[in-house]
Amino acid sequence: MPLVYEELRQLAHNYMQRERAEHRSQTTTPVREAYLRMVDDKSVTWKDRAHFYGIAARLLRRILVEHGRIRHPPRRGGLAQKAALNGARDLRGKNAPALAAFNRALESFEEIYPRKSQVVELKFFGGLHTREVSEVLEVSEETVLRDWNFAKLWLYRELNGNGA
Amino acid sequence: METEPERAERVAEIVERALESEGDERRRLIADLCDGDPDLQIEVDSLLRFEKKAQVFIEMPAFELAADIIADENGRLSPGEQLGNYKIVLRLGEGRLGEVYLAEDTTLGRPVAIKLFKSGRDAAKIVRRFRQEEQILAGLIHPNIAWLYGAAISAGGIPYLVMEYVEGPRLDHYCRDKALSIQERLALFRKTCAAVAYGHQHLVLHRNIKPANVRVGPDGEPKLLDFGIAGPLDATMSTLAQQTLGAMAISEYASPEQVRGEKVATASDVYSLGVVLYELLTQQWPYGSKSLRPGEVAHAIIAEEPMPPSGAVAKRAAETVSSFNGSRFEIGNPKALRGDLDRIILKALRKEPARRYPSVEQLSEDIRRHLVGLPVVAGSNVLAYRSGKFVKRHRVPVMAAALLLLSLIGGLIATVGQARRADQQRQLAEQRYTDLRQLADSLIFEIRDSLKNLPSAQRDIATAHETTGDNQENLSSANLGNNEIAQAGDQKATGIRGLPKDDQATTETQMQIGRGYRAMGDLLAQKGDINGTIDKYRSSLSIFEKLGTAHREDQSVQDELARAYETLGDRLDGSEGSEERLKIYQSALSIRQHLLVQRPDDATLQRDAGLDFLKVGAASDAKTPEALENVRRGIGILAALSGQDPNNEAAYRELGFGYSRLGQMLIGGGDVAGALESYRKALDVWERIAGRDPKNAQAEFDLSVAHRDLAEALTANGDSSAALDHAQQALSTLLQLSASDPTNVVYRRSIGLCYEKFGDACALLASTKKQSRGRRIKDWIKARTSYKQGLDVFAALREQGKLTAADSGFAEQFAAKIANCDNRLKGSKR
Repeated sequence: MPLVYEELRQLAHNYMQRERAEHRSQTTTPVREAYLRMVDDKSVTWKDRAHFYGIAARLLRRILVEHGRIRHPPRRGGLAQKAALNGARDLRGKNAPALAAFNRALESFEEIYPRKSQVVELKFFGGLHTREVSEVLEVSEETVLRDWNFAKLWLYRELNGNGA
Repeated sequence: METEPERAERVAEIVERALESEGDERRRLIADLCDGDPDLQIEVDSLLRFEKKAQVFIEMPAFELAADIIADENGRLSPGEQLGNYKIVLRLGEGRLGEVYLAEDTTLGRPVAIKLFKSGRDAAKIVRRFRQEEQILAGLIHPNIAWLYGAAISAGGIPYLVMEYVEGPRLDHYCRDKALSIQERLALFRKTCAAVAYGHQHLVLHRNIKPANVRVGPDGEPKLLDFGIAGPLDATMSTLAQQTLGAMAISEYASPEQVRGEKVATASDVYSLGVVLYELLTQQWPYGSKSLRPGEVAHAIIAEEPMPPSGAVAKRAAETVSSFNGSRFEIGNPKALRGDLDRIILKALRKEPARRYPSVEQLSEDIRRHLVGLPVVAGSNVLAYRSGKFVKRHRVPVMAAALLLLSLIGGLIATVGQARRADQQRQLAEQRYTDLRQLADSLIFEIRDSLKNLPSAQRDIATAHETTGDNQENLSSANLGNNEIAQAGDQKATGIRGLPKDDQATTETQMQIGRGYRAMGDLLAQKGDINGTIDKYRSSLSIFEKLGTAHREDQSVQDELARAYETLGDRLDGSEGSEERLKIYQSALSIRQHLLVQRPDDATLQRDAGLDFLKVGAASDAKTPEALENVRRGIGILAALSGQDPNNEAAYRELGFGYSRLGQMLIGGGDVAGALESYRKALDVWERIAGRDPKNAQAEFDLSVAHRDLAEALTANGDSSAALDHAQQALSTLLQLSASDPTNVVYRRSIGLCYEKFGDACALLASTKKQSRGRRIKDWIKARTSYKQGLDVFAALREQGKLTAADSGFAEQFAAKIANCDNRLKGSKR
C-alpha cells in the first residue's frame, strides 16, 4: 500500500503542476489516464481487472479520506462541505473535511443500499466510467445509471439536510 | 407488514422510475406507486426535490478533486526558495487565500509572513485592487495590528501579500494554556478592540475577526492579523466565486448580515468581537456545540438566540459535574459572568446591527466600566436614552461631524500617501489636517470617542507618511527583474508624483474631501458661522468643479457638483451676493438639465431641477419675464411630481415654496390678482402638510407664513376684513410657536412682520370712507398699536444683535407707519 500511495501522490503532484502550467481544460482527465495506465503497468497479482478496480477504489477512498483527516482534523463541518461538494470542482485543501463528511454519508447509504453504494465507490472514488462499473458489478449500464442517480439524490439530501 | 429494507427498495424504485418521467406524468406515477401512503410520498418527494441541485454533484471523481490536496502536501514553495526579495523559511499553514509562509526579507533581514494566493487567476485584478487600498492598509500602524507591507506578483504570476510576521499562539489558545483569569482575558480582548477601532477610524473594516487571526506575541501583546484583506479580496472575485468561497468561508464568527451577504459596516466587526469574547469567557460557541450538520452554522447565526454566557457555563458545568475543578477555576464559574458580562456580550451579539454597540470603542468602554465597577451601558436604558437624546438633539452636527471626520481622515491618509514626495501636496494635506483639528477641537467635548484618539491619529499619520515611502521602495525593488511589474511600478511612481486624473482612487479621494468640506460647512452653519460656512462650501465647490471638468460624463461627480453649487448658492445672502448667487444657481440648473437627459425618470433629480428653476427665478431680477417664467417652470415640474406621487412630501413642500415665491414676485411687480391666486395655492399646500402632521413645528410655521403673505396680498387688493382674518391666524400660530421656543429668532422676526400686516389691514379698514368716524379712529389706534408691537419686536432683536443687514430698515419702516397713524389720528380729532 505505501507504494501505491506514493505512486498516487506523485501522480497528483504531476497533475497539479500540469494544471498550473497549461490551464488545463475540463475535458482532459490526465489523472484518470495515468491511473488506468498504472493499473495496466502493475498487472501483477490481481486476478482480474474488476477485482483490482474494486480494491483500488476502496483504497483510494481510504487514502483520500484519511489524508483529509490527517491534515484537517474533523471540525464542525458547516457549509464548507456543502459548498465543496456542490461545486465539486472547488474541493481543495481546506475543503478536505468535505470528503470525510461525504464518506460518513456514504457509510450510512451503504447500510441501506449496499449495491448502490458500490456504484458510488467505483465511480466517485475509483474514477470509473459507467461501462466499467457495469463490468465490475456485472449489472447492466442502465442499472448502474439508475443506482447512480438515486444515490446522488440520497447523498445530497444527507449532506444538505432536509431543510436545505 | 413491509420490512425496512423492502421499504427502502420501494423508495429507490419509485424515485428511479420518477426520474425517467416529467411533469404531470411524474406526479401521476408517484401518486400511483405510493398508493395512498403519505409517508412514502413525503420520502420520495424529499429526494426528488434535489434533482437539479444534485445534477453535477460528485460527477467528477474524488481523485481529481482531491489531487491538489495530495500535491499540496509538498507545498508550492520549499524552504530556501526565493520569492522576490524574500527567502522562504517554512510553510506556516493555509488560509482562505492560500498558503502562508514564513520568509526572510533579504534586504531588511527581518522575518515576514507571506500569503501566496491560490492561483494566478485574477492575479492582476487582485493586485490592482490591493494597490488601491495599499496606502490605507499600509497606513494601519498600530501596536496591536500586524502590518501589511504590500502586495506583489511572483515571477510565476501568482500574487502574494507580504505582512508583518507575528510569532505566537492564537488568542484563545494563549488564554487557555496560560489559564488566564477573566480580568486578564478582558484586558487582552480590549487591546484587540483597540486595534479594530483603530482600523475603523481609518475606514477599514476587518470582516474576518476570529481567534485564529489574533496572535499573542512573546511580549504578551495581542496582534490582529489580516486587517482589511477580506474587503478587497471579496470585491475582486466574481459573484460565483464569492458565493462558493463565501459559503465555504462562513466562519462561526461571521455576523448575520455577512452570512446573508448583505452590506456590512462596523457593527459587523462588533458582532465578531462579541463571538470571540463569548468564547474566551465560556470556551464555547454562542449557539452551542460547533459540531453541527452542514447548513446549521449559517442558520444558527441568522436565527438562533445565543445562550447567555453565564447560562452556557452553568449548563456545561452541570453536564460535566464530575470534573471537580469546574467551580474552582474562575472561567468555569457562571457567577463571574452573570450580570454585566452577560449583558455586554449579548448586546454585541444582537442580530440587528443597529441594536449592537454602535462602535467598537463603546463595547470596549463598557468592559472597562465593568472592570472598574461602573454601571455598564448594555442593558441600562438610562444611558442609551441619554445618548439617543443627545443624538436626536444634535443630529445634524453629530452626523456631519462623523461624516466629516471619516471622510477627512480617509482622504487625508490617501493624500498623505500619494503626496509623499510632493511638498506642495504635503502642505495641502497638512492644511486639511489643521482644518480638521480646529473643528474637532470645538466639538471634542461631545462627539464620539473616536475624536479622543485624534492626537494619536496625527502621530500615526506622520509615521505612515515616512514608512509608506520605505515600504513602497521595497516593493519596487522586489519587483526588479520582472519587466511588466517594473513598468507597473514606474507607472505607479508617476502616479504618486503627478496624481493622474484618470486614477479612480484619486477621484474617490477628491470626492471624499469635497464632501468633507461640505459637511464642515453644514456644521459651521449650525453654529451660526455664516462666513465660515461659505468658505467651506466654496472649498467644496472648487474641488467638485475640478472633478467635474475632468469627468464630464461621470454622473455621480456631476450630481455632487450641482449640489455643491446649490448649497453655496443657498448661503449667499444679501445684495452683494445676489449676482453670484444667480450664476451659481444657473450652473446647478444647467448641470441637472444635462443629467435629466440621461436620467429622465429620476424623481429626485426632477425635484432638484424644479427647485433650481425656482431658485434661479427668485435670484434674478423679479421684474424680468424670465424670472417669472423660471419660477413657473419650477412650479410646473414640482406640481407634476407631487401629482404623480402624492406621498412625495419633499416635492410637495417645494411646491408650496414655489407658490409663495411666485406670489412674492407677482406682488412686487404689481400683479395683485396673480399674487393672490399664487398665495392661495401656497396656503392650500401648507394647510395640507400641516394637517398631515399637526405636531410638525416647521409645517406650522410655513402655514403661518402663507397666512401672512395672503394677508398682505388681500390688503393690497383692498379686502381688509379677509386680510385681518389671515393676519390674525398667522399671528396666533406664531405666538404659540414662539412660546415653546422663545429664543427662535425666525419666529420672532415673523411675529414682527405679522404685526405689520395686521397693522396694514387695520389702516386699510380705517381709511375706508364708508366707516363711521369713531370706528375709523378705533381702527387707526388698532393699527398704531400693532405697528408699535412690531417695532418693539425688531428693536429687541436689534438690541440683541440678531438683526441681519437686510432687516435693518424695518425699524424705520415701522416708525414711519406709526407716524402716519399719529397724523391720521390728529387729523380725525380735528
